[in-house]
Amino acid sequence: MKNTTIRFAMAVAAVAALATGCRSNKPGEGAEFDPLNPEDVALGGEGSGLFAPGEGMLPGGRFDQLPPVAAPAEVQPVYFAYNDSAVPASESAKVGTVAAFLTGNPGVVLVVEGNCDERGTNEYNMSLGEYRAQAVRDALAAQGIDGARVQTVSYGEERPANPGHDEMAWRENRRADFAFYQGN
Amino acid sequence: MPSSFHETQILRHSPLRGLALAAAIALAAAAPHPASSAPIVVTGTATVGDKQTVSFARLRTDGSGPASEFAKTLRNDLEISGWFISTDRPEASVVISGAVRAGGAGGAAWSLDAAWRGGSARRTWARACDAASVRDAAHAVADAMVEQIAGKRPMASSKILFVGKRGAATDIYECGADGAGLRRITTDGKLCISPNWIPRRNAFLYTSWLTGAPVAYMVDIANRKRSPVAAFPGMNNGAVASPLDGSIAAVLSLTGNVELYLVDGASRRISDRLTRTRNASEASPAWSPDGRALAYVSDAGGIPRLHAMDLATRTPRRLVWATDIRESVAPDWSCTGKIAFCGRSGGRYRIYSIDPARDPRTTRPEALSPADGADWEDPSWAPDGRHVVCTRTAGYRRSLYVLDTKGDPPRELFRLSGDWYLPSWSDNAVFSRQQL
Repeated sequence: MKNTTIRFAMAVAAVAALATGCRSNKPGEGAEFDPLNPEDVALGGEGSGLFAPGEGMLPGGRFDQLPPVAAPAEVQPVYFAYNDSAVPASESAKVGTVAAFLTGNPGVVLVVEGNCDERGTNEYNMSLGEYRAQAVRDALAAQGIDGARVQTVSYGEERPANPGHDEMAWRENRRADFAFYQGN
Repeated sequence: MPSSFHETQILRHSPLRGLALAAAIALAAAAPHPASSAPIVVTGTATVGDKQTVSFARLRTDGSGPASEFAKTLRNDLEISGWFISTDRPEASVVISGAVRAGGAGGAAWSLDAAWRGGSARRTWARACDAASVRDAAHAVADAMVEQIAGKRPMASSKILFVGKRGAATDIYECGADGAGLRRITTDGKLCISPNWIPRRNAFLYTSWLTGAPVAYMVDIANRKRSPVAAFPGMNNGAVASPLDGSIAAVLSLTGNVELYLVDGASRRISDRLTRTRNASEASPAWSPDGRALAYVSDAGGIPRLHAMDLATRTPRRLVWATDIRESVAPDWSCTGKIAFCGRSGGRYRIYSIDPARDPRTTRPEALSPADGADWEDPSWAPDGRHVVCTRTAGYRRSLYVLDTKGDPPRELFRLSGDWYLPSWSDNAVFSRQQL
């Protein structure tokens, strides 16, 4: 009887917490079984995984394994509109700056990193981030940059520049970053 | 005590139904308690809604750690299966008797007898296990009871994979269907997303930036191996293995266009390209249970929406037409043929379910998550076809919840600091090899 009463109290607390959108604290004392609190489970450090960190990596071919080249100060991220991968006209001068740097440094190669704000699913934002990076690569090609010198990578919503959760942060996170590397 | 509760029928699809159920149980608990020497009564009709009551009054344990863990795990599994309400009263539609005690090597030994259908149906489970298998053994007994007594698909032995973010480090983690047994699978601390179990195997596919670019890997948990399955130029994401032939659907961008492809599971070469949508994004492929169709997301119409494609005809069709659901993303196809997805409505993300066999223009998706001001995303069906695990974001924190399509209240899988998201729920059979 005690058990069912406790379960009743827990069920009411859970529903109330959900209805008000707040978090309840730990379930009441005396709960028979509590998978909600695995604090005592050792999540492990080094060597606790199934295999060594890095096992199974695919070797080579990526520019980002080359020596990095510091970006000149005038190179700035390109920002995008919500759920849009077109380079806005207001941002095209930034692409021109990158094109000028690459033209003046023929041994330098570039990875364009596409990023999204946190709204939408992680998976859809992966695709959106890829298109943003590609849109910048296309804009560079239109300014005469050989496509073989530019790789793209999407980080989706996984690498925000601003960890905030408001419109200001989102604006800073819908972006393409530029990472330069020493090619030949 | 009344044998059923009319209110629970009325509230069947209401979030309040859980309250009504709980109130019913409390009423039952408040009734006079018979002496413990009372005879076992297998009433056969003591149900609450579509749940059977199951009595643990006659199950004895020796108080040892393994025996208690076995009994608690079993009882909890029956509760969260959704088909039973456990009670310490002797009257119930299912009565479990027998004993659990400490076994050799720190394990447990049990001899359980279940009686139901008024006592006309009986089954005994008797066995012992070692210390490492106590919970798995209890899960296996719970699964057998769900199958044989309730006649339903079990899920207690299944596992849930997800991304865990603690501090800046992101890795893949795993836990049981009951939220216990949490462990970290990868230890790279690198960005990773999209873990998806491979049907009928203790193995999964996921995307990691191990090399700097998003590459799809296969992790064989049993053999502790990891290898790349899609590492084409550009993006490799959303890899999911077919239940039919092991071919892998994935979202790739090697042509400069984000499209849906099939990759041969053995040779790991592209075997087919499924979409040709210039300047549109595809994402989140999910196989139908028969492996003949894919649900996926495409924004070819301007905003991301759910589509399905029969692989024989290759014709995409839009699945969600409800005007108040602006975006429909992250599909997952259940063993019963329903598709769960995440829809954006009123500025919030909620979990919905649809039957793709019905006309999508006239079929209203059923909301599974409560309208509680939180965002609910990333649904993945349990192998029972009844429950759905998903991510709940509230206060900018992501945690995992299990939703019930039959109206039980949402259940938080576990509570631990960090962000927990993108869950994938496994088959049951692959992990239920525990001997009975």
